[in-house]
Amino acid sequence: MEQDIRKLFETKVETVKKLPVSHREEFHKKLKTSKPERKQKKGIQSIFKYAAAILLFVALSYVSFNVLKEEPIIKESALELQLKEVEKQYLENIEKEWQSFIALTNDEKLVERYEKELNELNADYQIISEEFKANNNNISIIESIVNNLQTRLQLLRDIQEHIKLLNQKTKSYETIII
Amino acid sequence: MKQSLFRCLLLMLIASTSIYAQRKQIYSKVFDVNAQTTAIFNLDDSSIVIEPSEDDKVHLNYDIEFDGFSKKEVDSLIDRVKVNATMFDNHISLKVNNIMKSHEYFTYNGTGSLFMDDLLKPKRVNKKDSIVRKLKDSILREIRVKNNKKPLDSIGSWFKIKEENGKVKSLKELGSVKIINGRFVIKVPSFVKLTVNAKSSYITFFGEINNELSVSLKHGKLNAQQLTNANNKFKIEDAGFEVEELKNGNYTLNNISKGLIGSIYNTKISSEFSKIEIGEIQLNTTIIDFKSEYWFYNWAINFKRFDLYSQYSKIHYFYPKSDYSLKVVGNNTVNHIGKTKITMQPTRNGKKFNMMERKPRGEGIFAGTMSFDIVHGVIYSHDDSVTFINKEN
Repeated sequence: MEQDIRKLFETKVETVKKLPVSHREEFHKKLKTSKPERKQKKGIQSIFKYAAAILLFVALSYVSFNVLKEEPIIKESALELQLKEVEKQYLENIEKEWQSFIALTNDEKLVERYEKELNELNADYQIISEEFKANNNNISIIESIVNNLQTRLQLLRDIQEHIKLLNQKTKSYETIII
Repeated sequence: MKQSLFRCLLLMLIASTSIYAQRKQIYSKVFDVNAQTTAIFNLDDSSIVIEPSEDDKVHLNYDIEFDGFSKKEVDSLIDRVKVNATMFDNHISLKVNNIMKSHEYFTYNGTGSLFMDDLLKPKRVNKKDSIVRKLKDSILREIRVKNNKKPLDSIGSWFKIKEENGKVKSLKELGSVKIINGRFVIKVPSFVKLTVNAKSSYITFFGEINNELSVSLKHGKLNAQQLTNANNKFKIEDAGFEVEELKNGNYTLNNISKGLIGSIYNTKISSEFSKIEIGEIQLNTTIIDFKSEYWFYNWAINFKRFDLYSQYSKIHYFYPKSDYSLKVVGNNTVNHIGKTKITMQPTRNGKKFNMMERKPRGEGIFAGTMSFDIVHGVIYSHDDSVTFINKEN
């Protein structure tokens, strides 16, 4: 079974494959049939492109519409601006009077009572302010806001005046007979 | 010719659609009731008048006055009103919605600009020198005048209009304010037990009201002529309180800015942070208070007993004209007797002591005993001679 490898190549007959005559036509045909597929792929891509453009357009329109719609809310009337300034000044004064009140007294129960009352009035104030946002042309609501602020300020001024009266040093008596 | 006819028609059209002031009936209903009937009214931003019914029926009538609105606006506003009154299992329930978040609605619709003036000035404080004894009748008159105010009168005088030519006018002087003024009149027989839960509302009890009442009101105002039931329970917060005759019952009053009571009889008041004037104190009244200011102007000929328990209160009282006795116990209180000022210093342990006393003179009719238990208070008393017992003597 032993063979010389060199002889093997000598005896091997090379088989040459010949191309069919119509191979060019067949190739063209195959090329043609593959064309519609490529066309379809291109169509889907462009639909996506159009959809993205429309979406972008809708989103931009929505955002710009909302910005325009919000503009009248941001714009405040002269009365609203004045009320804001009045509120700011009252709240600053209330805070100032509160600090001066707690410095004046050492009665913790009194401070607690006032804190509770002022917190309740502040909670009311928040509610009325929300009502004003919804109905900013209602004079009665503006009046309620101002009354609330004036009440808080007056409560703090009254108690300080009261404490000062109590703290004044005068002659003390055991009992007064009238 | 055609042009002038057109102009005329246009003018007529404008006139018919612009200013439209009138009262409209919104709701009317009648319920048959008996002694077991109860009723509850839940009100938010409403105005109601409760008065005695002349028959055994509850009558509900709701009117709204519109001023300065066009006919179209009025029709649209009326469509938004919802009244729900039902009777189930001998119990009446009433609920009224508000149309403009305020029973009294004002809005300026003129050409000038609306602004607020003098708002940062503090409220005027009563000076003790200006306090004079008021008669019961003058308190009653004050209540009635306040109750008969026109809608625009309740607007703060600090609302001003700056016109285009720079002139400043009060809002009240102008007719360019739109007004909605709703009024619910309810007639109730005296045997019906009534509960009212109200917020930001004006409640008026007209005539003598003998019904058992349970009333809770936060913001707004309570006005009454006569409240007489012994089981009455009222809780009024941050509101106006004006009653001509308060007879029996329990009243909790918190943050009443200007309370007016014509006369008070057999009533218990618990109050705080309020300012209340009383025209005449009658039989057996008790007041428990924290940081209010009271004015006791007159005393009935037989007030028998008056008790005041207070902390941080300011009391102005005028002596009874008949014979009486007075005892003031407490601690750390300033007494202004006539033009004399006396400070009762605080005791170390805060113990109360007998600060001031007046024994009956034994002359004429004895009207009653006044008993004050007052800590950290200020008392202004008037019209009597005094003797001081000095601690150092």
